Amino acid sequence: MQYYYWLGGICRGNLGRSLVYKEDVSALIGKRLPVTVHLGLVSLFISVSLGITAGIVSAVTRGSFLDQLITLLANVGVAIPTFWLGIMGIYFFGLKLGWLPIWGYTSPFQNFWLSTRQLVMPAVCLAVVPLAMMTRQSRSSMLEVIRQDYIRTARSKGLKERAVIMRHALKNALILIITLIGLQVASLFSGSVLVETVFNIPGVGRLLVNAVFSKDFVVVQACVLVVAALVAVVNLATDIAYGWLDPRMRQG
Amino acid sequence: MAHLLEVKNLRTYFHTEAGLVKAVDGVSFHLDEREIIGVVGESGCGKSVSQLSMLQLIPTPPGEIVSGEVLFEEANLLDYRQNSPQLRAIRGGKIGFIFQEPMTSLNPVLTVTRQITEVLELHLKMEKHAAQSRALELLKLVGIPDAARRMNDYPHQFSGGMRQRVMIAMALSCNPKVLIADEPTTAVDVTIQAQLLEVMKEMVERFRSSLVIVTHNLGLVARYVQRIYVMYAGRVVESGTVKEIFGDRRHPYTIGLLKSVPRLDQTKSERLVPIEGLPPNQMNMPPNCAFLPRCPYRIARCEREAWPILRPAGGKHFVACHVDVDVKERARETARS
Repeated sequence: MQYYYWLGGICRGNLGRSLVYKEDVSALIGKRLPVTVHLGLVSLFISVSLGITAGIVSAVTRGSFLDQLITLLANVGVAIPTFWLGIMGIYFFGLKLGWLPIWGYTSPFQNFWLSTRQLVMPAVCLAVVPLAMMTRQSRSSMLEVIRQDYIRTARSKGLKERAVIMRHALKNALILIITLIGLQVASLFSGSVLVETVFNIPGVGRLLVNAVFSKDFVVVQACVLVVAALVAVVNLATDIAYGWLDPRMRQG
Repeated sequence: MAHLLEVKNLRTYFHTEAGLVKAVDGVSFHLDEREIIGVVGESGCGKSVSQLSMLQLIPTPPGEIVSGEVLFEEANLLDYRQNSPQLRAIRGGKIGFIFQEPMTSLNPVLTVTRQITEVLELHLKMEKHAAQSRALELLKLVGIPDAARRMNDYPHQFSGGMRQRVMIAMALSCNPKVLIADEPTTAVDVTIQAQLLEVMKEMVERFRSSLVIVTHNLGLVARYVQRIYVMYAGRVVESGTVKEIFGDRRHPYTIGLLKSVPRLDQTKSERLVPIEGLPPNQMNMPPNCAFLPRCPYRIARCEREAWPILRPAGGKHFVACHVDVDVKERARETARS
């Protein structure tokens, strides 16, 4: 019965009241969600842009030293635990070298420079695993596409290798890569739970962790709901991107 | 007279995990101006690889062009590096390629027009707009119905035959001297095959190009080509004019090949005769004739001696066989009747 009350509340935009903070959950999440989204977007940008680039370079120079190096780094990257990386980052860049602040979050609209400096380490830490996966996926997608007949056709037309890769291969490879981007967003949320805790960032991830520890089930429920909704939206976006990239998906 | 295109002693090997495969092992052929030739043989005989090797379009590794010369316009194309500007200028510009599978050989995410205009922009330095109207013209020429409406369609929206027409338009867009069609009709059904060959013939005549048709169907190309090269296990085993090959075939493989193709003038009771045995495994090939295990005419000399080189058999006819099959064949024919 309680569940129906809760469902009814959601339909009216009411996520309930936190047991611990004595505040509306929607207000709690409303304050923290932009933080997580900011962190997530920066991480996503890092992992997607670098990952695809590294993957392509690796595939095109297949078998070279560079390819082997990138593949090695990617394999290491997938295996690194995010929280360990965060702690190491804090130790070296924060405490030893003093280059970057070790914790906290400031809105970029308030103080852009401080915000960026604070965000660099957490965003990079959060990006490492998706970046490594992105690199591996891009490399294998690209290798898959390069073997195709139409790439041979493109070469037979006398196109420069650059045009063959950028015009003919990349768009086809992206169709395969985009699937992973969708999945990455989901894993970024779980990663943000760790990173926000390590760097003491007031985002949804840390809210969730604290709620779990203080048995604040109303907040836990709401956080899970919001994250699930966001993941669903991202999946919709990737499906739309398919249609845009692959004319075979467009059916009029 | 110098030939338009001459390939001398081409060898292309593939280094596979299982061992060395001599896909093309000393192939020579030539093509004259405005000539149509056929390169015929079964799957894996090296006919496609020999064509791709000319423009260094085989993947390296595992492939390697070991030796040979490809003489075209007073240059040896094998002297150029794989993606050198000189070689790229010839690919698509002077020598056009049509591939076997029109489904997979066209890029699925680019419109057909874009795939034609990029060649025009590259080789003829055309402006985007001029290239587009030229592409439309080409699509009309190869017989795409309603070309103006369909020029912005993607390959998957066309049927197999229409896609191959797009391929033809693309390969011919820069008015190349040579057009190489690698099994152009294998992926389409029989009624379309003839149409496509007609289109190709018409186009090379219009564009004053020469054409190489690579195929496994000897009967199909007979009407269109002037000369034929028959390949087996990476070598040319017989070559000559259509008349010489059909009227006076000498090599046991050619004889077998023609017996295994149905003919309209055959009576119903006559059965097709397949060539016995399997194509050779091109790894660790014995030094003697590769057709030996399947050859019904073999003699002791074939076992002892190395694979014979092509020897003249009158006119433009060349054959690589120790046995003078002609005589035996006639004897058999008479014995049967």
